[in-house]
Amino acid sequence: MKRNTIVTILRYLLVILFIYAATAKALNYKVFVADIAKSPLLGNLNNTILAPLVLGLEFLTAGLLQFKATVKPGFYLSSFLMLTFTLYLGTLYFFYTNIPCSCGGILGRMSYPIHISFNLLFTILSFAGTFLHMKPEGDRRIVKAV
Amino acid sequence: MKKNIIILLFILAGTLCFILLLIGKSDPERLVIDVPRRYNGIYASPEDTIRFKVTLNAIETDGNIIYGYANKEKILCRYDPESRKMDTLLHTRSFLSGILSGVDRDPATNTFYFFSANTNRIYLFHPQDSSRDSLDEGHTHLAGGEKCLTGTYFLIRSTDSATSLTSLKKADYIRHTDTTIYTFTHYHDGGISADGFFRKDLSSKRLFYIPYYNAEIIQYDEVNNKISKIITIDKTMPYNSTIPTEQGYTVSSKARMINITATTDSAHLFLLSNTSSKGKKEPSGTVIDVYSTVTGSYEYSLQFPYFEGYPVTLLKKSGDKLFVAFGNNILSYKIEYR
Repeated sequence: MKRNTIVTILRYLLVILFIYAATAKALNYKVFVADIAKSPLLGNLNNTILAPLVLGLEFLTAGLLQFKATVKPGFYLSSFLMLTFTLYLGTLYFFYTNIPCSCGGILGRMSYPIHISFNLLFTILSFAGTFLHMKPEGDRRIVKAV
Repeated sequence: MKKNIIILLFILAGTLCFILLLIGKSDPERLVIDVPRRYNGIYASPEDTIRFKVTLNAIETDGNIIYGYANKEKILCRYDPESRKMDTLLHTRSFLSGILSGVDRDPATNTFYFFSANTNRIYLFHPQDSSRDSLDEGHTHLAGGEKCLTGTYFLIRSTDSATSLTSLKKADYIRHTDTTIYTFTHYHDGGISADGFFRKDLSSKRLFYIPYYNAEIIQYDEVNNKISKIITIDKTMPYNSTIPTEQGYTVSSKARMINITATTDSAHLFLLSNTSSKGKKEPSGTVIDVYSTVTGSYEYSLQFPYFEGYPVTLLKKSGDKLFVAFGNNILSYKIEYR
């Protein structure tokens, strides 16, 4: 399989994930905000800023991954978000007794070990996308000419 | 390649710092909700303190008379405030078998009902003549219940072994018939995450099923045969409170009990909540949220400090009085709405 094909598959897997996760949260926004407030890690933060920030970052990542010119920052942002979600959930699961999950849709119904494994898989895919992605042909030619 | 590694290492370090920052600011013991509670509009004035010899697990009232059941000692006792006399009505050790999942009193007949989960039986006790009896529905699995306000019906919680779904059923223990009133479709775990307790109000003829682990209280209007829901202010969803095991499901060690105990009057549900509002000192077992049973909405809250080192453990509303148990002490309060 061509390297570009793998990168495209990774991009669209991540786009689907981020759009699904963000839409599920947006559709049940009040519950999402309430769950953030209940989190022992996030309870002290201002959830009226945090909730739209998380949603905005998820939609932004999906947007960046869709355009060739912004795929690279999209992969970086995706790596950051997936790593943060994985570490957040892992920290809650292993060290805390009270772990409300703020994810909507099917993600919120997963058991915690499955959810953490799922997040870890997508973190690895984001990292892989970062390494596998190459600059577009046109850009490389310009670099060579300079 | 080298640039990618540097940037990803930077992301990794940044994420770790962010999580460590969150851990530093966290408060793991609090179950925080984002709803400010209203402490105005309802007032509780202390009236009397009654000290029982045992710690009670259930209380029922008949006017000012208090009946209490102690599960550890397996006794049903009665306190009369007129004579200040306390007596033991029943020793259930020889009478009851199985795990007790609820105690209820029918004021019309002054009969006590003891619901036994693993024997599928309801045990009856009549204090007037100290007679005892038991009822068996046969095929229906019984996981707790409450005597309905009419006929020989009981509102029970039952789990279907084939689907592992839990339902609320109106069961006639004399004619051996039952009708499903409500099914908890979220749960396929044998009813573990739907675990909860029953309450009823005689004047409004409503029965309530209150789950321990989530916000969805089921209200059953017996007269109109209607189901409605009261959603508690924490809005906890009914997921992630159980984990699969080889034998089925078990309660996750991470699941947090939201609703501890409750009582009702003609228009209100008084619910002892295990949550605290953001930025407030509301330790576990001190906050009672009051909901309107007519509109289903949150109205007020009451906060009771610990009494002799104990948080609130039981509640019972009777007329304008609210009986609140703290360990083996019961304090009665006069409730006023202003």
